Amino acid sequence: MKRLLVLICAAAVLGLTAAPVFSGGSPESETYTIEVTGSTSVAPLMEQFADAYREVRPEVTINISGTGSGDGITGANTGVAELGMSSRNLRSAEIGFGLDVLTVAVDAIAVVVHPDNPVSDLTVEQVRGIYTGEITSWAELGGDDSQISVVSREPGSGTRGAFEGAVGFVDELLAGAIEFDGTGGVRAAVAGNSQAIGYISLGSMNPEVKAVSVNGVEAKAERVVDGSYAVARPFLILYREAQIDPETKTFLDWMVSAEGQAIVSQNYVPVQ
Amino acid sequence: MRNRHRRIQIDSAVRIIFQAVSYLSVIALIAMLGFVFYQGIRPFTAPTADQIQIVPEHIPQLTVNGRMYENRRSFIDIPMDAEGITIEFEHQGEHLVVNAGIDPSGDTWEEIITFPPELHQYITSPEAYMYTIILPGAVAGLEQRIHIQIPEPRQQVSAFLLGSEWRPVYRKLYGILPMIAATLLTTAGAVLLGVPLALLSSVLIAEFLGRRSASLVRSAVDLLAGIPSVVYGFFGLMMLVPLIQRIFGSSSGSSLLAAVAVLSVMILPTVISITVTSLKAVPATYREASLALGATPLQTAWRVVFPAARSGITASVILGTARAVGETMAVMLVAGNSPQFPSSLTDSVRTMTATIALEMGYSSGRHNELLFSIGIILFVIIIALNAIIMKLKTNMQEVS
Repeated sequence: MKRLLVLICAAAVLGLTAAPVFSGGSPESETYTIEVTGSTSVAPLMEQFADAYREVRPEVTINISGTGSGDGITGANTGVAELGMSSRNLRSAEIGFGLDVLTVAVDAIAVVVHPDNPVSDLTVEQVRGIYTGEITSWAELGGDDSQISVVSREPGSGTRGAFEGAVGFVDELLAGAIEFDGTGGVRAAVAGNSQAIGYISLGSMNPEVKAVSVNGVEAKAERVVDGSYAVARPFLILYREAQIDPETKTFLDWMVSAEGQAIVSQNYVPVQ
Repeated sequence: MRNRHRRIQIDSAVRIIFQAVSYLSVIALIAMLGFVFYQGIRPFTAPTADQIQIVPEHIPQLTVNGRMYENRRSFIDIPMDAEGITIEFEHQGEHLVVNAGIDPSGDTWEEIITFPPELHQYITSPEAYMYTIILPGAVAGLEQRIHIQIPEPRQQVSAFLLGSEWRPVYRKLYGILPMIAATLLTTAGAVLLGVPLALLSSVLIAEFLGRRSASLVRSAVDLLAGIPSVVYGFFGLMMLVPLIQRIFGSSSGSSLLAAVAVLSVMILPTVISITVTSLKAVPATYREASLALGATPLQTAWRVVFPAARSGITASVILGTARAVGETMAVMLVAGNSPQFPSSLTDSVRTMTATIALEMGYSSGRHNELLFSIGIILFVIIIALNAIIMKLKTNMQEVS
């Protein structure tokens, strides 16, 4: 008898704790959870959006998972997540999914080197030469007489796709280039190696690495706005207009409103 | 009497639950294998699609082979055996007709669709198996585009296993031989470096150390096994990689050598704990007999105890090998991940497991499926290693 009582108690406790989890997504309840998945480059911005949106609509929770642009596009296409994030334009094969696209920000990709590296300016041709293996020594670029350690992102990365597109080489990366997943990995590799060169989202810059100017133009948000900094890409949100909740639609509108774009302008280039 | 009946009922209910739970691991294995095989076999059995797919951009109305589409945003399918593709649409007030021929027997994807020469200046190929016709718009960004995707044919197993180029995104070349080589090299290096160390310390623990110091060393080894692999990788990235760069004067320390060094430490606990157990299992009479015949303790350990524990030691080495093959995170952090054949120890390499972990979140379509195929190859390697252990076990039973 006693055991039965314990069992009933346990079941009751379980039920109580589980109840809010189950009711979280149901439309008739007060609260609503928006699932967002995709690019690791867009995720930091989305976190900022989510923080600010909590003040605007406290009953909406935004769940963010940073897994990769490819995942974001597939997730939005198959309906695994309501919103997908991508840090590159859709590839031709992905356009046919028929997704709705909202550009929430533009991000520059900064070409970074170790802070001790004397080289501070490169042309687009030189960057291409480094990444395709034609230029192998810093001496050719006015630096020390040391070999260049080329650091890249992994195939399929949004940042890599946008960088290769902007610099003008596609799938021609030199065979010995080191590849890391995630912006943090590339940054750490460049910060720890005085011979390294890499590329990261401008919004993820920190003093551990030095951004070089490209074609004499500094990697700055203002330079992207006036079109003089060439290596830039959009941050996209992907969704299906017909399938999203009104609450999600409100969030989408808020991201491109003056309030949302003010958050973008802290680290990225606003679209409005 | 009724009470007893109820207890029997409860007993059988509990038994069913127990059975279900014990079969859970089998179910999990079957489910996982089924999934990996289903995804991983597909690229080798079928083309990516049976038809050519067309999708327009910024074209509100177009006619494809006589059928009209309005605001089309998903693929329009054209069967491979169609005579050709005729696309009609309005471009800046002009009525344009694009005619293209289809030849499904073309050897390369470029030969499958032929465009009329006057169109060539508008046609780009952003990636393999893909054409994009770009017509200038009134404003930049509003160019009218038509994307034409040709299905990728069945992937050749030989091109997959023996291809040396891994360019999965644009050029759609999927050769994993550099990754297989990297996995074999890092594993072989780790076994060559780690196993002798592990065997020496096992003999020390099992035969020569006193009870207290032996248990101290053993618990240190057990703790080593409990350290998460990402910590090994991080340590290697922060300490080992810069060290290798300085010693060898290479452009980067992320290398085959770094991966071998980290892996050889990581397999120590696996090899040591099983070897110690099997050394301890050798009957004390063996040692006594050997010592009584005048052999020194070292001779006894090396010539008598060690051979007697042979199959247990082999099993430990194989389990260590399996650990090295399957290790992902630590290797990914220190190996540099370039899909190339290394020509020296300081060259960067990419193992099969690292490829899966690196690219899973970013891949789509065939690229994604082929990551599962890499999983199948890894599974085959692990099965082979396990089969050797099974064989050893039966041998051992026959002996005893």
